[in-house]
Amino acid sequence: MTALQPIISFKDFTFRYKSQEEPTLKNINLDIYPGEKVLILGPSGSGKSTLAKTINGLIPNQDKGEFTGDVIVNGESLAQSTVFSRSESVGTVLQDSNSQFVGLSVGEDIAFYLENLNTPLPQMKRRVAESADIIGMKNFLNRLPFSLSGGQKQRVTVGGVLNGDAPIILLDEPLAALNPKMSNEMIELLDRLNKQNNKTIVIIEHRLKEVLHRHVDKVVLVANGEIVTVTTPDKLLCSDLLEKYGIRQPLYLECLDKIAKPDANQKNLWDVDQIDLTKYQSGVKELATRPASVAEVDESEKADLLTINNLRFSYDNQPFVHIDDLTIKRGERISLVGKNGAGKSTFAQLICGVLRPQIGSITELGEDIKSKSIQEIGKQIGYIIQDPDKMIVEDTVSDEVALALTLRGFVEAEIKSRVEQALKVTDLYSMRNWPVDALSFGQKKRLTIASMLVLKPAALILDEPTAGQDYRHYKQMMDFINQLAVQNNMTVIVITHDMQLALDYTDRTLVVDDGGIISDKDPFATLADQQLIDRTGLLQTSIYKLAARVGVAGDKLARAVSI
Amino acid sequence: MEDTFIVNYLPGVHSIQKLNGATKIALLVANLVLIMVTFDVRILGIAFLINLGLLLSERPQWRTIKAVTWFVVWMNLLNVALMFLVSPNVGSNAIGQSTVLFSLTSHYPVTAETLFYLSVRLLKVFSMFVASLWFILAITPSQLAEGLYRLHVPYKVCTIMSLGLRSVPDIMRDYKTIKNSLQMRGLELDKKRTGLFKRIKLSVKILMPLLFSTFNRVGTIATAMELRLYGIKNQRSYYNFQPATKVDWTFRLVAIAELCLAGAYLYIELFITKGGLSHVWYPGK
Repeated sequence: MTALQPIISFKDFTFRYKSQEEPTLKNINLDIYPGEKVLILGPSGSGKSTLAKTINGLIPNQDKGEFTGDVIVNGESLAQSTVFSRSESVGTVLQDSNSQFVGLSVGEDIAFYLENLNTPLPQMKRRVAESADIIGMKNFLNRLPFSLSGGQKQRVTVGGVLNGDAPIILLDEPLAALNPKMSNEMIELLDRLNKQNNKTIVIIEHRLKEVLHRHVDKVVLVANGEIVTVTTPDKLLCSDLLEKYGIRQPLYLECLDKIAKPDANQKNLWDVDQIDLTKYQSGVKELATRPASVAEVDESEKADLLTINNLRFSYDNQPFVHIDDLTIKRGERISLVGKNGAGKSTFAQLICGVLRPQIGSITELGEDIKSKSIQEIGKQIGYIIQDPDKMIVEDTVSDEVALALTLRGFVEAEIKSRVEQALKVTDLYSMRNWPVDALSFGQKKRLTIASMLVLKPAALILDEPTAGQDYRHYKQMMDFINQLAVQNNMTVIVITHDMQLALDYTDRTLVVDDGGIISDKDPFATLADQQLIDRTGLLQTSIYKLAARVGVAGDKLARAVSI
Repeated sequence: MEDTFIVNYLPGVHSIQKLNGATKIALLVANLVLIMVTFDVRILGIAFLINLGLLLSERPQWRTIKAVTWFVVWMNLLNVALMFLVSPNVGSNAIGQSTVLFSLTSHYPVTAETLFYLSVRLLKVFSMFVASLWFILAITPSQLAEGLYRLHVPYKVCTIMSLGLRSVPDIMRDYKTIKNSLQMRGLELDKKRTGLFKRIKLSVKILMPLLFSTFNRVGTIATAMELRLYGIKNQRSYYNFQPATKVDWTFRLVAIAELCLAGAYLYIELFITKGGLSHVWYPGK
């Protein structure tokens, strides 16, 4: 048998964007073989997205620059490639699931590739039906993009890509906007395509533990434009490279590490369901029985931030949010979780006065907000939306931070001192005169927080604060918010799908379902409640799986590990 | 949630809505041509009734069309009033006789002919409005693109139209998000508290991020489309093409009949009575 030819081959490839001085990719050598499933892993700014663009031909055809070496895909050299010619070998799924949804229905979007090839209608209908079946959207062909979840849209794009019969499917951060459950479904779909349809899968991601929901053949670790290593998941997991490059280890391994460092020959390290636990049994049991060392804080001492009484809210006479009795104290750290459309955002908008309840009252800091304007409520409660680009309106960093004060007519001196303080706290002071466009995503996120802090709010609501950020940046930001909350006795309410975030940074989890709050306890206990989890589609972290295998209580183990 | 938005994204259930894209476009064009060529109240009356019938057959929700209807009605009443102010004898001149009913001042005699003429103008504009309205309520952006392509419009033009309409709800949602977030920071858009000029100045603040997010979106869509071979061929097929049915052919015949009527009217006006295009039919003259 002759040696298998690689289907993607980087040969001493170096690339520099036209607008930049330094090359973004340096001396890349990499072979990917047909039928392989490969994860290209790296922190933000490592060059992994640039790598993807050289595979699908967007570089150098759309994003201009200089390159040396070659990227050969399916026998075609980069110099000869066009976006069209590469698209016949590589189906690309982009990160933004909404913008890449071109069609006005699921069927149309899947058909888009075939439409462009002028495929006759009967053949097109047949192929679309086949693809829809593979991605599990057979019964959704007439649905509009507006009525689909991010995960469904992402799957539809994969379905559209399947029509091309391209042997390679390339996904650029496909999990960025997905909640854990959708993310698992996506990974399962890719696994099926790899095994049953024999596609070569290349996933670009920084979320290691989500991708490792299913096996991958090899992991390419990229940092600073260079390949650090090409290895198997098991070998990567027992090395110290992850920590060095700011990528989070799966939790169960963090836990096992506390007991004994796994050795290099350990098999199935990547899979919490299969990893050999013989030598860890007693250690895990011991961990789980450790008494919780956190002293119970007496919550009743704290002042009320807000109380809600007998609240009812409906959209167009459709009853939706109903909360009979809820109190949130000052300084509390709360996570608000639940499915898409369960009412989390509506709830947050009610607190902020963007929406008003038809019945019932909301009292904030002792005053009923019924007669208060959004602007008045905004002084007390800052709402940070998911996408910082939709909050930032000024040209420079300090103007942006000053805006809330300028709009409210504060005097010059007061504005100056508050802005300065907010910029220092958020570590943006050195960039105060920068144009906003020059900031990275994480810096913009900090800027939106600074622009709320100038009002000295009693509470901050953060909508999916970690979306679009890699672990290192997310941790920095959450640590910083945590510190703020403690120093200023500020309440933090985090709306999230990420239960890990809830466990790490909040003390109380409100589970929203069908417009009501169906559970109100600490995040560890929330995740241990099997019935609740089944009902609301929350996902347990791998610690709970580990605990189940050893036969100890999940919340106890999770608590012990989190200390 | 967006049921007050006038563009439909799903084909409706009424028979006009179920027609294929090309039929709807042809029917609209025929109606508009017929309305545009004439100042004859008898023909305009028929055209108005036909289009009103088509509109009512879709059972439109009043709250969906309320805003645009009031806008058109007031704008055109204003337009007609201004026309009278600028030239109070416009109708008498067009018709060629003058029957003064009463005078507002010595410069503003109100004649029966002018009243008649201005009413015909209004009827003409409202007929066009009603025609456009049933069309908008009947067609989805995809059908529009597919129908135009069928009528030999280049497909890039068709795509731009359907993508533009596709992104309207996203843009409206972005607008709301940005506005709310700015209001929470203290932006005051309340009429009672902020003057008109200041409100306009503040609205610009909302538009900037909206424009940027829209540009970004356009960039991503263009890339996604190219990666899926958009533009590789000179022709393309449409997934949502629906073959013409008997109902389609019936309505196409109606469209042809209307075009014939328009043609006949033009022929008579230009070559037989030689009244010209601006000729206004007036009872008893």
